[in-house]
Amino acid sequence: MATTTTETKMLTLCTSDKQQFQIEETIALQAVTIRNMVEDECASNVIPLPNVNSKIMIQIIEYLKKHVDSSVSKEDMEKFDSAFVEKKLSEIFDIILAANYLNIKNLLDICCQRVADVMKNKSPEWVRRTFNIVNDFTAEEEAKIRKEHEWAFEGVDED
Amino acid sequence: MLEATVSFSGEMNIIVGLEGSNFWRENAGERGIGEENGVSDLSSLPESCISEIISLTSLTDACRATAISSAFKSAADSDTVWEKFLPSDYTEILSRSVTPVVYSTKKELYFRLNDTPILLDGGNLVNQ
Repeated sequence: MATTTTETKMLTLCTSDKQQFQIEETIALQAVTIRNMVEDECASNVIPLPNVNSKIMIQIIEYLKKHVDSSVSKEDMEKFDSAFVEKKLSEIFDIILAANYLNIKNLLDICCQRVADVMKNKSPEWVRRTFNIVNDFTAEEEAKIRKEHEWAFEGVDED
Repeated sequence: MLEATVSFSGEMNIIVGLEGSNFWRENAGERGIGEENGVSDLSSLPESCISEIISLTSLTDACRATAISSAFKSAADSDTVWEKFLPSDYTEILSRSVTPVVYSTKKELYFRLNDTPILLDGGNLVNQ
């Protein structure tokens, strides 16, 4: 009886707040940025991720661990994804920033979709208020823009 | 919902650094993320991400988003967004046009194709 002694290769990720996460390489390599670092051999024992903090890293690892598991059915994965994005929008934005930097396409897609669903059919005023966006147009500029696509401003949701 | 809570204890060690996790809290405060009222700062995202979000809404939402702010206008008018709204075979359609279709942005191309039919295949076909 042959015993399998293949050792699981581990990577250590170091977040912006200097916390270290030791995770299996197969899990971490789903992030294209990490994969490129490993392939280019510019990664030593510890991979620094200065753009990701530990709070977000924990959530990203949770996502990657689920997605590396090939035994999970498509349906269960979709359920996991929709439960995963049920977070405060401020957290979703932080995850978008991290997923963009780490280049994890699926994660970026589901988080962007979550924000898109919130914005759909809402007035510019509502979007500004909800997302703390400063209107930097002059009244004339804004009126001109609105006139360009007048039809797009009809029938939006009540604020 | 239960599936979302994964236990990290077995394969992952979290080694707490000297500074703890104050870094994140301080920065979250500076960025104006209001935890209590759920107001979030979407402007902190790079333009490519805002474009990605807008491309997942609809054509009408993309046009309306141009009135939010100059950063949103730039993101909403980007080729990333309008590439999604053009038919997937638009390059093939354009290659069959009798006269070259001139455009500087994908948004301009979208409305150009939408507003005026172009002649295809030596003038025997008109795109709808």
